[in-house]
Amino acid sequence: MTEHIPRRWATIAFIVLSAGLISACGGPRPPTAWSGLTVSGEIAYLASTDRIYAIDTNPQTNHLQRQLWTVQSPGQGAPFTFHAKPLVSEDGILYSGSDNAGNSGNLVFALDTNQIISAGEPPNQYKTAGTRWRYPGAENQLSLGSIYGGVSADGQALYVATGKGQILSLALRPDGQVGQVNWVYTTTRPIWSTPVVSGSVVYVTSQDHRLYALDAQTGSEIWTFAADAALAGTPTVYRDTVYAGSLAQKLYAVDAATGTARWEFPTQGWLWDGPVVYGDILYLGDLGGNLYALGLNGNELWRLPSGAELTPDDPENKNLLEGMIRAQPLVTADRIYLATGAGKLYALDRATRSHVWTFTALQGGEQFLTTPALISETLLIAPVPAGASPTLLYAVDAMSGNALWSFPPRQAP
Amino acid sequence: MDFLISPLVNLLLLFYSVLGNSFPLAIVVMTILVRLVTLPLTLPQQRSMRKMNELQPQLKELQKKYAGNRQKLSEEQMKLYREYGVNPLGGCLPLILQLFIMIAFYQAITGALAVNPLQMLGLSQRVGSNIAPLLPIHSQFLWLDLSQPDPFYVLPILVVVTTYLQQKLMSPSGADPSQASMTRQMNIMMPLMFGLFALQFASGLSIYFIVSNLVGIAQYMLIGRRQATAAAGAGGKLQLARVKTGAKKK
Repeated sequence: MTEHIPRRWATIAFIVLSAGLISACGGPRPPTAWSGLTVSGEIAYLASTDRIYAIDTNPQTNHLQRQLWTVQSPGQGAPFTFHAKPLVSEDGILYSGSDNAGNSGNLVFALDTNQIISAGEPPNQYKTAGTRWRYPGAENQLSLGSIYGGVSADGQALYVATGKGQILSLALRPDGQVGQVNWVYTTTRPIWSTPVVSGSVVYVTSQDHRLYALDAQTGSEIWTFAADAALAGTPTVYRDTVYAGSLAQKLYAVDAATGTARWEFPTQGWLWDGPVVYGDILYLGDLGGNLYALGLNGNELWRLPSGAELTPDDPENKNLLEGMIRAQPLVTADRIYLATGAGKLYALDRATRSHVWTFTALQGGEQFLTTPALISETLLIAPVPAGASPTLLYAVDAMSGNALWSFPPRQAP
Repeated sequence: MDFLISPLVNLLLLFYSVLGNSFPLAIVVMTILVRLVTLPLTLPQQRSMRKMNELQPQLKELQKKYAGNRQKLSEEQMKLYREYGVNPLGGCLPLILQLFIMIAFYQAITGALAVNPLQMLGLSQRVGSNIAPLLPIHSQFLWLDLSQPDPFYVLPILVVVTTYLQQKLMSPSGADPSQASMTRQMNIMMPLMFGLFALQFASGLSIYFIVSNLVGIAQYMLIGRRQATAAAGAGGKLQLARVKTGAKKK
């Protein structure tokens, strides 16, 4: 019998290895969304992986000292990740939300960026921001779905939407503490977007194929607009029109007061967020990788199709428009900065659409799905974390497209 | 793997749309379809396993006859296997195939459900624009969220039970003690392994396991009936073989 023991062990080893192999396919928890990036002054606030970071973007700062503080799962050690774009108030309170892998039990929280304290034990001590409050607290039983969109505020209340289709209004007390829940409005499908407050109305899209206008005071429904497919991204409100992109490859322009359709523009790919407006021109990209510029009445001014040659006069250095466009472009007086899922950040001349430069992610597999942020002459772009030691933020020279630094730092300067 | 995942996602969503927006039903139909497509690979293996079960009396006889000579026993066993077209290692290919399809199926289920923004972006690159109005997929079914493991362990238990039944049915009874011991181990380890997957992964995958096992059991039983009918029609080829073996002994 002893001669068969190796065979037996080989069988067991095969099964255990197979189990291990399949389990490994799950691997470490992959990101579920792109990072949330906000800048305030010279500080970038980044919600990425299982942390929120405050990063000093001053070009003179030593690369190893860019991290001002970091917060991991405020208040408790729950396995949250963070994607929601942080909102930072004038008095330095940062609001964001958590993602618990699509499950319930998430938090909306406020961090006090003026209260930096030490945490951890030496030699692993680090600086962190104090938690002002979190919702739900111990006394609140309302269970929230994952928060992928950002938090918006109007001075009286915070507005946040969740993966369980909830839209919440949380009262803000004068002392900065969160008060009671003003109201909760529930849609039938998940919400991944940020509610937009304009005047006394909250506009929010839901994957139940509807755009909602809710009274900011009471949460009562003013109107709803039915689209042909899910509305996954954040709408844009400009003047008296709400613009919402849909997975039905349409941009809808809806009367902000009545909810009636003004026009719709067909695109070649699925749309996520609404357009960015600059100089009365709507700029938007679709998941098929096409970039459009529209007039306010929905007329197409121009489009750059996916795969378009951006440098037709330079056969040695072909620059093609590559990758899905999830994030709104960043538009300035003379430039359009466009981030794509192929890990490319393009700078185009706004007037002529001619190519100025392309920055390519330094690590393979990185996607740019977050709108870049501009601080003086530095562009910040947050890739979707990829690989074992992912880069969370790139700083790129806005003039030349050259990489300036990355976070976390790869090597000593 | 992408070449397999995209068609699976599209087919799942097609079935979802024609079956009244029922994702569990789409998984059931897809599983049956996958079993049909892989039939040319699994059928010979199942036939071979059934034949191997039927050859156990002869194998026992050979074991008695060559008890002191393992090399000769092994040669005679192989001769017998060849004579009846049995491949004793034939079980490996379907197992590998099953693991391969399982990974693709898991990716297809989570990809089609697209329960988070990145998965939805991934889905946008796999499907046509006509799919968009169907989204997001209804992932709730009874007490289950098909994108999450079963919180009440009902499906993992069913996975273990059906895998055990299929394994038990298809395993040779084992004339060789070492083979019998290995079979016993496989009969316990395999259901536990798949049960572990069911505990860890989306419950949609458990539905695939259960239906796939049930189809496998039904298929095996059908083969048994057909082989029995064929054997009866041919006057019992195996009995003839036994007579032949007996004649050789003399």
